[in-house]
Amino acid sequence: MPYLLLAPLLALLTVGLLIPAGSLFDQSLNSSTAFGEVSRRTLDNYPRALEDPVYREALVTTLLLSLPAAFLCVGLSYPVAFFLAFRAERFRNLVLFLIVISTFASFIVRVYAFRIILGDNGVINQGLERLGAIDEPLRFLIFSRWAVLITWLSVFLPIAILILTASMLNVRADLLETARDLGAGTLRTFSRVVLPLTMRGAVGAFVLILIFAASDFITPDQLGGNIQFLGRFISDQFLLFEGDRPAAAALSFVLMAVFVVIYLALGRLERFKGF
Amino acid sequence: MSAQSDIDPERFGLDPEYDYAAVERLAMARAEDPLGFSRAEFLRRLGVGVGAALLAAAGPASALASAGRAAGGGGTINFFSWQGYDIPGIAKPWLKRNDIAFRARYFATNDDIAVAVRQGGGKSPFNLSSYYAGQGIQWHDLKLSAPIDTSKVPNARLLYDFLQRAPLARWWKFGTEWWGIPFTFGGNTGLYDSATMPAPKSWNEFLSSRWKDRFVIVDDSTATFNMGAHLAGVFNVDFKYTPAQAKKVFDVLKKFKDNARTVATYGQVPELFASGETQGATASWAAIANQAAAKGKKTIKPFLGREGGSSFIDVWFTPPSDHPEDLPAVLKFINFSISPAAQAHAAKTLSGGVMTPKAVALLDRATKALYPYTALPAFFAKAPVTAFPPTKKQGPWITQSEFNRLWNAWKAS
Repeated sequence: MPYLLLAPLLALLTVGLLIPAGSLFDQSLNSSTAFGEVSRRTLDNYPRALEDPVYREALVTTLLLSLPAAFLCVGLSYPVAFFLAFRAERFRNLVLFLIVISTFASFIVRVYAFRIILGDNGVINQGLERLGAIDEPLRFLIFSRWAVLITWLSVFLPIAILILTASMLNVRADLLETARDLGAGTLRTFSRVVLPLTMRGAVGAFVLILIFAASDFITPDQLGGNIQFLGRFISDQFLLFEGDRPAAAALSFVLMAVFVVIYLALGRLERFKGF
Repeated sequence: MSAQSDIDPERFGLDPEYDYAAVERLAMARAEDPLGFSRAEFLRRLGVGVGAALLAAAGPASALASAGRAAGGGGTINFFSWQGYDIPGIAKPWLKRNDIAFRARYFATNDDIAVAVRQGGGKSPFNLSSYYAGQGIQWHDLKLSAPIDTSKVPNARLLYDFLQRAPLARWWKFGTEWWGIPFTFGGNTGLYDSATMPAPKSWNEFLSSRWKDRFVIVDDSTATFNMGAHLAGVFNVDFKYTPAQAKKVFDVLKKFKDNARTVATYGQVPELFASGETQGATASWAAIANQAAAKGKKTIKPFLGREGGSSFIDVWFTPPSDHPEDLPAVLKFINFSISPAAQAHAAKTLSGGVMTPKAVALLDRATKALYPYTALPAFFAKAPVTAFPPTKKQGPWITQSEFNRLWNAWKAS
């Protein structure tokens, strides 16, 4: 009987996740031709995804940027979450409300906002030119890895803050007092008490942001310039006339496998006892 | 600027002194019906009712019904093509007058056409579609298109003379049969901001330090590769390249990528021009000049490097359909779409080129400036329509799949 409570969720997951994933897996077993696909029932697309230098480079490039982005999001959100959980009782709800509101704007609108901020005639360049700090616009601000990283931080940081704050609120304040009573300083209290107790939330936030960043194709497309990110590569293969859809489908599963491996590896951190 | 017109053929690397206008006047004179107007126009002036009355007096009631149908009423067009090709601004009243139902679906890529027309075991649910001219021979060989009765498309005689004969017509005419009717064209021209840069004469100018980080390469594999093939000296209109030749082309294109700001999609380029983040683009699409103008940047102009380029022509075709009784309506629409007025409207709304010389006089200045109408044959000789890579392995030539991989590898490099 209790399992009946899961029925709506299972139905949604079946329709919204399992069936599309099954269809995508089925497509990954085909071969691509210029006029569509041929059903060949082959697993060739999977080793090709790892052996082909183009796909491999796209995967490595994506991970080399999305992993630091996830790490920075979690790292930067810790002090904010700590402040909200233990120092800002009176206006915690207001700040959380403001953080939530910042996520209401459409993702594409926020990415475009950074096109305006970082562009040659954007807010930053115009401001620096007016101050006389530069004669010509800083052209590296846009169409670069930096542009993608800054945008991801802006978009995903609120999510990390919300997750970590929820995790932090589960840490009893009296544990912190006990640590101080026993002579622990701020850093030691953080590393031996707060960090281990919030590790599960941190891992969850890290993996979630990693997934969002690594599969994002809009931000790299608009701001990443020539850099070939995997999300963009996969979307191109599905959208373009000359795309290799079975290979893209296989790459999607390879990327998902990478996420699972990272999550399982990070899961061991939940037993972390602190520095 | 050429003395003959306010269009400057020099931007397209063409001889400004040659009297191309005279060539076209001759072509127009040859296309003229002896009556001074087309047979379709003659019938319209005579009046459908008079024709129907004559037929009713001469034959049974069924003849009246077919006369009424053939002369203007009824039928359904199931359209599947690019959004905008249905030219709703000018077609809607015409469809209403002719009592033709029009159901439109739009595709996102050329690939969708082949898939869609193959539905239903060879009888497509769509009876009017378009293909990129370079695929015309493939479409013909695969029987995805069908012969067109051009007696029902009299405006085909008003098309530019060079569209009715080889070499261009080989993509839609097989022997004496028309399997497609060209509807619009576009050039994979380069673009530059005339306010800040002089018109490039050669694609190689983009490799200079003056253009470093000031131009973009458009994410159009065929147009970009064709440009590179001209530069590498291996250009082939049938897109037959050995792996060594393809590598040579991509080595040339790598130099462009290293000097470019970014590789951008067609949707991004007008915005990049408008925001000033680029002042040029390699082989792309002349219509972007108008799109940038719509965003406030009115100084973008197309050009063609002297080495050559490529262009596209989109061609109407009638897939074998499961409703053959609607074919007259389809042919009527095709005929209407290549009339001068419809062509001028299409060129403006699609920022494309017209297929009939009589439409040129109806174009506004900005649309007319996109292409050298006084020298179109020379333009198409310099920027021909090319095939796509072969889908199956034929001799030493790279296939479409191999080309895709090389293109993706170049983009990732």
